[in-house]
Amino acid sequence: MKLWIVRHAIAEELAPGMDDARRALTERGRVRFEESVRGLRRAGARFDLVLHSPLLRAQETAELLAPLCHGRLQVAGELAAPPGPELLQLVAGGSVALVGHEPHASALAWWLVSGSRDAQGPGRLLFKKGAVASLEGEPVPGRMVLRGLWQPGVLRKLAR
Amino acid sequence: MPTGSSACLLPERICEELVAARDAVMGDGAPDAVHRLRTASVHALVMLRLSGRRALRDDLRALRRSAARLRDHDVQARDTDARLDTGDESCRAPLLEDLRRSLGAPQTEALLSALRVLPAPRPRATRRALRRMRRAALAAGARASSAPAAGALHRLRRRIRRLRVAHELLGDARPLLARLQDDLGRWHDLECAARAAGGAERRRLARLAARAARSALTLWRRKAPIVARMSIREEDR
Repeated sequence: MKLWIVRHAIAEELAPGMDDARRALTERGRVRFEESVRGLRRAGARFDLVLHSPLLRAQETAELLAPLCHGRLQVAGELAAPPGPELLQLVAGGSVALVGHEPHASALAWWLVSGSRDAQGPGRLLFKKGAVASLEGEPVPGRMVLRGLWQPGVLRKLAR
Repeated sequence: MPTGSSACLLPERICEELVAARDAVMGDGAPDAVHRLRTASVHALVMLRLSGRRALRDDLRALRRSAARLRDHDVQARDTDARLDTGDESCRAPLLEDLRRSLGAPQTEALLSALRVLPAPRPRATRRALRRMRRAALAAGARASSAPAAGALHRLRRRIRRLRVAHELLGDARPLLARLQDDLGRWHDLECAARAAGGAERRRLARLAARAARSALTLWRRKAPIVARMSIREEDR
């Protein structure tokens, strides 16, 4: 199967008294990620399912990925927490995008590729906001291959 | 936006309605609780449409579908005057158990958390969405009028329900839409009952359903121009 791990696009800064879960994408974040989506389309990305965390910025990022999805958009609370076996149970076959947050996105990618939970170790993956990692294989820790890790600037260049 | 509309449209308010209905199903699980759950999920779906949001719609549809079989059972039991507290309970119990299982799943909790953090819809997005819903209802009406097949009538019924709920959430209830929906609802109930019945009863119910469909479409043809001119007060400014 193909797994696409996506970090949410640029969102509002957390202001004092503001609920972190309610941070929305900024206009700039939205416009830039729309361009990234065009880049992803050019790279051949298509999804059967988009799972996203319940936090507003992940919901809004998942919505921007909807044109590439011919299946469902589905909320998954597991994407707002460190990756665990419950999250992998939601992923079954086809091409699935997971929209989440740091440090969980890089920890998940590293766990699936290396089997190690030490995402801060020497193999740490850098996920900028709006970055996308593409993995292939069986969704079991240590059994997936990292096919690509695209930072947002690269995706936007692909779109042009 | 009319006064009071924003209060009805607030995601927190709609979320509270969903939570209360979920708790009622988990509690006594009475037919009314199941109906409230279905209604609350339609309110949430329409609120998302009015906000121009795509995420969470599939989750809400799944939630609504999970209650569909039990709701159909309850409607049929009510219409055939069956007693829910006698032998019928043995059919209802497993359906209620299924529904409770899906309501107790982590996904329902994630859906509620996701709904809670949504901002109130922006007036511009709301106006655009309402215009789209109206156009969709008119198109479905035109199709149903030219070829009144069950699928077309069913689509028209859903489009009108969506438009009615949207107006209600905006604090601008339209009795005409409720009447159109009632007429199409009568056809739908008879159609379902006919499908479930057998022999002579089936033919009798099918005749009644065909008559109800004709009557609903006659009303629609007469009132469609009024629906086409409908707008919320804010749109007229």
